[in-house]
Amino acid sequence: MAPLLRAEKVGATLGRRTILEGVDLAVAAGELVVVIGPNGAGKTTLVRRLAGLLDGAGAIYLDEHRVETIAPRLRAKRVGYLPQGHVFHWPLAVADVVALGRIPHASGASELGESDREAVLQALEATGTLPLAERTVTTLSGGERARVALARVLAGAPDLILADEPVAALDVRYQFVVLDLLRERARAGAAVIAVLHDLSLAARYADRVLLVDDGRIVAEGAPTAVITHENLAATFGIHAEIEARDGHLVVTPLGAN
Amino acid sequence: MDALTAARPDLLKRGAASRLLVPGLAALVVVLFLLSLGVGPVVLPLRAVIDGLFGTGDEAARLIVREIRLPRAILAVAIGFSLGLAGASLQGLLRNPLASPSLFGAPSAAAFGAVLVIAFGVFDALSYFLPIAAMLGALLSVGLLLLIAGPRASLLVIILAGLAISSLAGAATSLALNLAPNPFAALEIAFWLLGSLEDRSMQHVMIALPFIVAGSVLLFVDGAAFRALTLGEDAAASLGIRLNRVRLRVVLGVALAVGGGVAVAGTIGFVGLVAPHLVRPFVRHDPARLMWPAALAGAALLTAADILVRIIPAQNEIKVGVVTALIGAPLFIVLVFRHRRGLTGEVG
Repeated sequence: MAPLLRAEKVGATLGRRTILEGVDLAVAAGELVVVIGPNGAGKTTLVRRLAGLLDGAGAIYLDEHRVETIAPRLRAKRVGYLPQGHVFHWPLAVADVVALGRIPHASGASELGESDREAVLQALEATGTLPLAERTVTTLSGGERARVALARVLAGAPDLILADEPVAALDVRYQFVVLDLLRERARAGAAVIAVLHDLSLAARYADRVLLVDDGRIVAEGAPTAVITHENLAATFGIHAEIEARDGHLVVTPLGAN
Repeated sequence: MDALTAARPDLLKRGAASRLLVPGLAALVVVLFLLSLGVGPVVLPLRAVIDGLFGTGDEAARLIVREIRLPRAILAVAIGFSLGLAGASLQGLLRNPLASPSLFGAPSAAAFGAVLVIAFGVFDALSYFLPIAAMLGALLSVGLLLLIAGPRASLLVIILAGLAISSLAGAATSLALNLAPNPFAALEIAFWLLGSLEDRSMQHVMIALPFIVAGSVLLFVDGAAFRALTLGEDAAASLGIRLNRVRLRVVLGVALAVGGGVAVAGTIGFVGLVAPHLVRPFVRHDPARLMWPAALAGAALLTAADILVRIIPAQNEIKVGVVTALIGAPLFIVLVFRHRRGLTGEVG
């Protein structure tokens, strides 16, 4: 089966600095790919580039169509992008924020249609934010905002979800809840690419791990193949204890080298 | 999911209060419009106003209503409407409640454009060159500011850049006055700069209206984009919003609206700041739903201010631009005070 997303020799520059170079990547529907790498490795740039938000070298194909040639609104229906930080600029009601995810689907009417309302309610329910629906988004805690931000993406029912640090700022339980949700979306047929910092969570949830360092993919494959002592030392500059427990890798960082 | 929808039938539906907001404000504008036709040195009752408007009443009332007060009332509504809308749009684009055309130095730059035309008498002051020059001035200032600010500038940068552009436009205007060949023209311009709707004719209306209407139409396009920008520029772009086009439409729309208004009424400040602020709580801060109420509130505000200047007993009629600034500037200070924590942070 042809991959849903394919990237060929993708690069990006910021001024004269090269942030990303020669990235080849293919992600199939139903796959959950986790991107790991040290700060400044180019993870966010990679995700933004894949989302079509950044120009640069190389080509990105969505269902074998160049992403630049797809109308923005059509692309928006298929690709959901969850940026880092979960910032909201206006004190909107939570339900209204989640409804923003329906913008690419809107028929032009300002009132939401029945299918829009249902998608929004489902997303609120799935992320456990339904009780917050009438709250003002700017008064929420960091963890609550992160879940609302994810609900906004889920409401659009995209085929490809690009999530940049979706569980940063979440407490331990909601880290599991959110990643379970993303895995469930993948099982339902979406392709998911998520940037994570927690290596144990990465190992536990990823079908495939991409290790990014200095603007390149330096290792790619099953968690056990990528998360190794040598790779962690070479990229993060740490030594760690890596053990298999209940069928998952558990990574305990022990210190900086 | 049906159970879920049934359990929260209220969610995502607008309340009655918010549905009444636009009709209510529209009714207020109509009342103020009629009041504006009735108030002046000769106070006319509603009956006489309506008769005069349709040309059925006595000659004097007809003349006062149609020739003197109607152009003024139309301009107050149109200029106020477009300023309120321009303010709401700039605030939506920059995701900040302190943005407004005045902050961008747009009125001063537009005034400079217009003053150049008047002071040097290149063209008849009642030609379309006046609004075009004013519009170009506004276009230059708003475009320059967004260029300086870039997509992720902090509000502080925008304010400082706006201040600089405003000062530059002010200095250029002073220079034009300084060098004006005719001292009487200079005096006239100085008064005109204060912002007034006094003694405007249908000819002024015809000059300004096309620009104001075109600008308003452009500005109404991007409500959904402003709503999406709540999530920041990247997320909005990922939702299919073409931000470059949005920016271009807002710059052009604001320039057209401000240029048309300034060309016939001088600089009238702070309506674009105050109007959106007054109605924002009623639309739950939704920048898309804000646009019509903000525009109507702007129309109501300027019309009310223009009635006020006719009621205040003073030897010379107080200029309406002075009144809006006297009311608006203190409110601006209050807003700055309330948002002072955010001012050091990022807009984007």
